[in-house]
Amino acid sequence: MAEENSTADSKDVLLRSSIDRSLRHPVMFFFASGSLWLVLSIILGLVASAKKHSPEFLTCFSWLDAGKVDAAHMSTMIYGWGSQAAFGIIIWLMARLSRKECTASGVILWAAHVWNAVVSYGVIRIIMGEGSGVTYMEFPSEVWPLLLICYTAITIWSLIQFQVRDAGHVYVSQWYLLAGLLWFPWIAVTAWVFVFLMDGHPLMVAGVAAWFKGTLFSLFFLPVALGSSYYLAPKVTGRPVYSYNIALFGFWSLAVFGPWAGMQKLAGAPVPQFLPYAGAASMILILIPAIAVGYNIIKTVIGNSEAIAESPSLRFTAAGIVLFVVFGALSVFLNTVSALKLTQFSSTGYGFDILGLYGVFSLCAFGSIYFIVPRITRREWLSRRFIKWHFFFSLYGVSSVVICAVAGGLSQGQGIEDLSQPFGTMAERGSQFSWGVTIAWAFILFANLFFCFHLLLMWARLGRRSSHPTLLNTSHPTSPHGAEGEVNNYSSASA
Amino acid sequence: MSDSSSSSDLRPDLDELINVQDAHSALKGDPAAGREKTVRENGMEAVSLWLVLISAIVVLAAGAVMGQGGAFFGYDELVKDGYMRRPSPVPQDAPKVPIAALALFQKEGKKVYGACVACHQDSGLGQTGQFPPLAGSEWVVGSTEALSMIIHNGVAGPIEVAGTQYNGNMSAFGANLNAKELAALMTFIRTSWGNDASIVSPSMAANALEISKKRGGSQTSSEELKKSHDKMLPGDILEPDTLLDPETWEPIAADQ
Repeated sequence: MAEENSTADSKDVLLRSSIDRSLRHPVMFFFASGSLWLVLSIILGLVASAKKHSPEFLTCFSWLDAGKVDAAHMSTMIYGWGSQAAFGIIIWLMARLSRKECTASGVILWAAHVWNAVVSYGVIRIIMGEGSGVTYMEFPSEVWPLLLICYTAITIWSLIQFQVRDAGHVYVSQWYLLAGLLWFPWIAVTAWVFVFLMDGHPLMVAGVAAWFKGTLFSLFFLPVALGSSYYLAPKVTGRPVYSYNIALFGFWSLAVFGPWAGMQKLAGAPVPQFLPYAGAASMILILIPAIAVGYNIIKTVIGNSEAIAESPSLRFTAAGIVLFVVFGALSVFLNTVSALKLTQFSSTGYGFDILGLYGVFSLCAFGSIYFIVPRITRREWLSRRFIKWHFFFSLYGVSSVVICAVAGGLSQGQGIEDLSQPFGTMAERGSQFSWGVTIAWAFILFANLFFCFHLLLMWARLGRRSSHPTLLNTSHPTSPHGAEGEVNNYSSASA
Repeated sequence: MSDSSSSSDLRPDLDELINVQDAHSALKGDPAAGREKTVRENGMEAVSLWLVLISAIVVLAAGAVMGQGGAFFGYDELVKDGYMRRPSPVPQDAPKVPIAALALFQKEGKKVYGACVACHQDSGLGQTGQFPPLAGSEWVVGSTEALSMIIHNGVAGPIEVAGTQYNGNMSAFGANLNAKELAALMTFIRTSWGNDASIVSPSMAANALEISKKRGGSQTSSEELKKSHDKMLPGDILEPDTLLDPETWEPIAADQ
């Protein structure tokens, strides 16, 4: 390394370090509380799935009725875990890429606490049977403005950092983060106004809720996941992003197709006929950004299989991106006219949502968390075994949930096409598949108990104090001066 | 190598000492930020042809779905053809289960009897002094023509039933009944509550309607019934265990 580079680098390192320091409390709070919500959400998902094949399960508790558990499961997944993980990633990544320290971490931390309190209140109201009953917006009406205020208090600083950044160049991740930051209030306010404020036709409410559900993923969770993987893939491998042009193509295709997603849920309902079909077409077109991003990221990291094998961040990110391509391909299949009929009143949609929320978003978020936490706590992850278990049980678990729910749902869909049979016959066709979903959630629960425990230990600053990252698949060195004990790890380590 | 005595308190459990650039020593406990690689310039590979081709195929697939959705921004087309369907009332190939005549007539007759329940009661015993009983009534188990006239045209004035004198006024129910319903009702009351009389077949009931039509619409009386209607209705005789088609009420062969 040249001398002049060395001083530039040292300044750079100091800046990075001070940015990490400025954000350590809010980011750690988001990740830790998010992971606790995730564990709760998985337990609720387990109960909800168990009730589908064994309706007598836990019937002694009226607050665990199937409808309430289902609603609480998805609400904690989205607003407890997903949003908080996204906030942590957004504020940290935006500060790093804009090269600005955060000056408002106290405000963010306060807003984070309020967010958690409001989500808890909403979940309790759902459990009490006072939820709104609107898909993905199950919290009662008064919760939403509070969440939106918290959202503003948490993310406005990232917009400001972007505005006052020094360099003119805007990196790919910043496009996605900025877009997600601006899209979320648009869809949330629109949906809230049409669902809760206006006294509209119930069909309109159902349509807007379906649109909110579709766009919440395509315009908020997906951009955050893609922004994080566009950051981590080159960062960990040390190679530039394969193609700027493909990145542009992928971003703008998502920006054009994403906002149309969602209404395909209403195919066959008496809404203007083009709406569900426009939604279905846009979900098919999601394959285009999926292939573009997938190709770009995979091309960036390929040939560096060592890094994928060793770095937890890269391994989770690569898995998330591969699942995004799978998500796009499955979306094409499920939104063709003949398959659309089969997905209306079955568990297929649930499997597809979980593939998006857990398979794509959460895996990318885990990748980011494994990258960010050692930097803000200045400690290394304690156990490579915990990370491996988290990875494999997550991957097998989410694959099983998706395969069982989608296949079971298609079987149910075929059952409902037989008009001479009662509805119950059709519902029963999914029960064996529900067993698979329950068992798969148990695997995911196992994975995330270790993840949560590991993360809480890191939060308590009990991580390893070492200059060596916790890498997977590295054998223990036979001597203290072995491969791992390389003195100059400035450029060789990659986590 | 840095001085181990001065830095040992900072890295109590480090198994090796670090000796990197000045940056590192300035960072003290933050090696993670130090070992990061800089995100370099983006690669400038062109969008490859096959990516464009795959996208074109996806666009075609999406266009095919859109084409099924009717006119874009057509707010008047609400329901796509083929989405609203109704199950056919009976599956075409479902086998017809034959049913014995008595069982079928009792089942259908009981439905028709719903109009009579208010006065004659579920038990068929009527109300003492007001409404005569049907159970054990000679009018019910006796001449079918008289019974059909009572049901069809009503009856007014004094009438003796099962040894008790009544003086009521039963209105006509004929307007609402077709031959099948009349046959089922008469069979039902003639074979329930301990009554054990013959089945009234639909052809007998049809003849009853003919007779009633010739007779005119006024209510009957006890004297008139005894004088001109005290006989059994003509028509086909139906054995109680004849197997009938449950819908057409036509006899069908047992082996079918």
